[in-house]
Amino acid sequence: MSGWPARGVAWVIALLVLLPVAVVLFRAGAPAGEAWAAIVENRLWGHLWQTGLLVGCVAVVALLLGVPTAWVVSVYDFPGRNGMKWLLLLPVAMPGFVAAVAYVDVLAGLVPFYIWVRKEWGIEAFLNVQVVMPWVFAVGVLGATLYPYVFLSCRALFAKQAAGELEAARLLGCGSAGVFLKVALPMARPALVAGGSLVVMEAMNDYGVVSAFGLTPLTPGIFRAWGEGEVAVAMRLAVFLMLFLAVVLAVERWQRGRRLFEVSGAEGLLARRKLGFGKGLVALGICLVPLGIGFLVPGWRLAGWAWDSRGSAEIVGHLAAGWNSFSLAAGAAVLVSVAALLLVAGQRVLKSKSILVAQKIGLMGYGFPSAVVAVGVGAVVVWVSQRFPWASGLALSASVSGLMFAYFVRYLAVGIQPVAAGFERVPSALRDAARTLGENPLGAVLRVDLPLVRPAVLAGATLCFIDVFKELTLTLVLRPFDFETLATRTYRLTDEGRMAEAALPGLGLVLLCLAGLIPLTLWMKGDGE
Amino acid sequence: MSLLEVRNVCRSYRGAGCPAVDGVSFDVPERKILGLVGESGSGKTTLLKILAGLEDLDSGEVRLGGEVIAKPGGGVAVERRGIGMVFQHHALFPHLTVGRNILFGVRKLGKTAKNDLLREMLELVGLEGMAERFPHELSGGERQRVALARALAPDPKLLLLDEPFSSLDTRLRHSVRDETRAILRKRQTTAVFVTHDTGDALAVADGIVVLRNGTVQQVGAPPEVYHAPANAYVASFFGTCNFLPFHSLKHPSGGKVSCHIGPPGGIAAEAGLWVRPEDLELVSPGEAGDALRGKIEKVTFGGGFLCVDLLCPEGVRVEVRHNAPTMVAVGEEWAIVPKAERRG
Repeated sequence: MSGWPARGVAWVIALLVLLPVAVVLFRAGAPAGEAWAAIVENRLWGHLWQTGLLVGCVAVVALLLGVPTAWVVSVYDFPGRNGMKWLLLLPVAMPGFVAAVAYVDVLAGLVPFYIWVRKEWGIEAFLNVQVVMPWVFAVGVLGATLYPYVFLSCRALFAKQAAGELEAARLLGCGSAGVFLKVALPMARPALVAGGSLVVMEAMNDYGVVSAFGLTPLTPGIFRAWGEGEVAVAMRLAVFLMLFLAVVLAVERWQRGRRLFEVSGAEGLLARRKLGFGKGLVALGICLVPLGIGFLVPGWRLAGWAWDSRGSAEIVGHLAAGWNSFSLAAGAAVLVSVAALLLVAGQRVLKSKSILVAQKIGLMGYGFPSAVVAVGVGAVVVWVSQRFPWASGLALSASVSGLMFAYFVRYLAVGIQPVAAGFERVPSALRDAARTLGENPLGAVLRVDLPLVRPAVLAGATLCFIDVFKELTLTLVLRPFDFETLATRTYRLTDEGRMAEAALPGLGLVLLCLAGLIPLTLWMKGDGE
Repeated sequence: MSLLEVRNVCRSYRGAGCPAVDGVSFDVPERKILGLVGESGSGKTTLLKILAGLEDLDSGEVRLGGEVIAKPGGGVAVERRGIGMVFQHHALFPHLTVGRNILFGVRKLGKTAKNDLLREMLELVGLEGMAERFPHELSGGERQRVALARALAPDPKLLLLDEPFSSLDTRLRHSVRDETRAILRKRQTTAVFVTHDTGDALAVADGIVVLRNGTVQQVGAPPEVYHAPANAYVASFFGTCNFLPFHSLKHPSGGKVSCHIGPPGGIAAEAGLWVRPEDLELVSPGEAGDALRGKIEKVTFGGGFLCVDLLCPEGVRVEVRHNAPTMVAVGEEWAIVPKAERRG
């Protein structure tokens, strides 16, 4: 069996994943004329420092929220610890732009405070506070919804792997603070870097939160240029965003490469220290801060507004948007799962290096910034509709295909990872056994591997579904005219200042994400993680 | 007539210093069981995989029933060789019941014929009524039996077994070993099995191939490789063997020892005798004339016998398996004589 069709399809997938970035790089080289000069003069520097500041602040806040919480739930026993271990993950289901809904009007309500500042401290303080407060809110919302990445990676490290080293430090006479600062924190650095770089990437991709609070880092800058029809400018800004990402990844790689920590992992679970009532309350408080900002407060406000607006005429629109979200997410999940299976199973059947390379390229897509994928795919869609005008009658389906294409590029990795891990867990002897029992390589994969990796495929599909369901950035740019998803609707209503009406679709979004995440978490827990 | 013919098979891996399998040849007659024995890294598992088709060969060829099934750059595909295999850790499909595992490789049979076959196989391996169980609900020995039934169900021309008993504990392993042998005999199956355990090989096989570093050391029936090993490696691989250099024996040519010495030109300095501990016995020095003498250094209780280590002149150490009622103690001097000599 030569397997050329499978190899061909694998490479088509890989090239599709690379296409948007290639388009961006290619088009960024086109002359952009005065528009670019104007951007360089007026906006570029602002986009750059805002991106740097935002990303840096969000990372710091996420670490400040994620590390101490991971520490207290791993090392101490206090009332509510068992619940907190899982509840602290809830903000994963709360997209930043949904949480922002609950805080935008708080910011708007700060006017009396500004007036007070002006009266007490003068005009300069008044102006400064007005600039700083949106930053505080944007960074706070992003940090409080993204810290679970840090929390998860650190909790895994503290609770399991580093147990032996932490016990040793205790026996050698370190106090709790000493153990944390001298042993736990330095050991957790790989986890901090891993979780932190995910936070940084998400913060760079954010459009909803920063624009809700009026900030203009690169991502909204790219969309503004794209919206103004300055395609070449948007492409050039997108290149800057990629450079930014490259710097972040290089720092991450450098940090990892310099000191690769080997933790023993053989010592088993850490014996947790029981805290007294007072200290227990402090620990609970440490956990409640991020959970409150990232989930409870916005959830509670949204629920209240949603209840108030239950009779509103908007509900028909919400339902239509919900259906759109659902179909897009389901379609993308199916597409991604099929492609992931093809790449992973194809590589298994044919033992093909070239398919493995295609698979690695597929994994890269998750690292591409949303804004880059969005304008890259957007340019492709425009090119196709200009080149094949007869297709313009299918404008709607063309844009939906564009959306699917963009989701596919960004989230293929989400499908590949669990499927590849699933196949990895199937012993090769099982496949050999099937072969000696008369199955050809394809038959062996179909009859043995596939039934065994089904849970992994389902997990990948669910993750992809959730990601697309709450996706905002790509959808905003690429959606057909008048086509709304729950995410874009929540964002639009917030943007128009109609927070109360934005609450219901936002809440629906959160609940559906939770409905997908909870069984997934339980399944992964049962699977030994 | 030989069912399986292995001719000059070689296989090397990139990056490895020496070939994994280096010019191996042997035959397996129909209805016989062959044991491939060697230490880990001797190439026995690679060889088995080459026979199964799960591994390619660099040169040489393998014939099954006269047809070439493996040759450089190809051969018959695994699934078309008609060779069954029992895997080291059984490799039962965890998502299928015992019944579906056993029938996995059975095609071209109607439903009733399949059910009859399943019943027959379950009866053969003594697992009646277990068809609906899942592999994780079985004991180690039961899993081993399912693996055997699954490999036998498609009625393969040749059965391969890769360390079939190694995952079982000692007590279970002996009974499973005997059962397996009985089943293979009953079905008149031609089989090749790989093991690092010489006990398994001696007990189960009709013929043994001893491998070391990818080369064949000896091919022969079990008593042959045990009692007439082709070289020092084979001799010591199948159990303790004493080496008595000729120069340590006072009268090596006193008419008692006769053997054929290899190349002409006299006896090499390192020439000597290989003798198994159970072929020697201890007699009191007075009865033995000028026999080899040694001082007892260590006595180990071995159950039905005593394991006696003696230090002889010129630093030669000899182990004797002593099962006579006479008591021996460390420090005593005894004469060492071959058992057969006294009897004859």
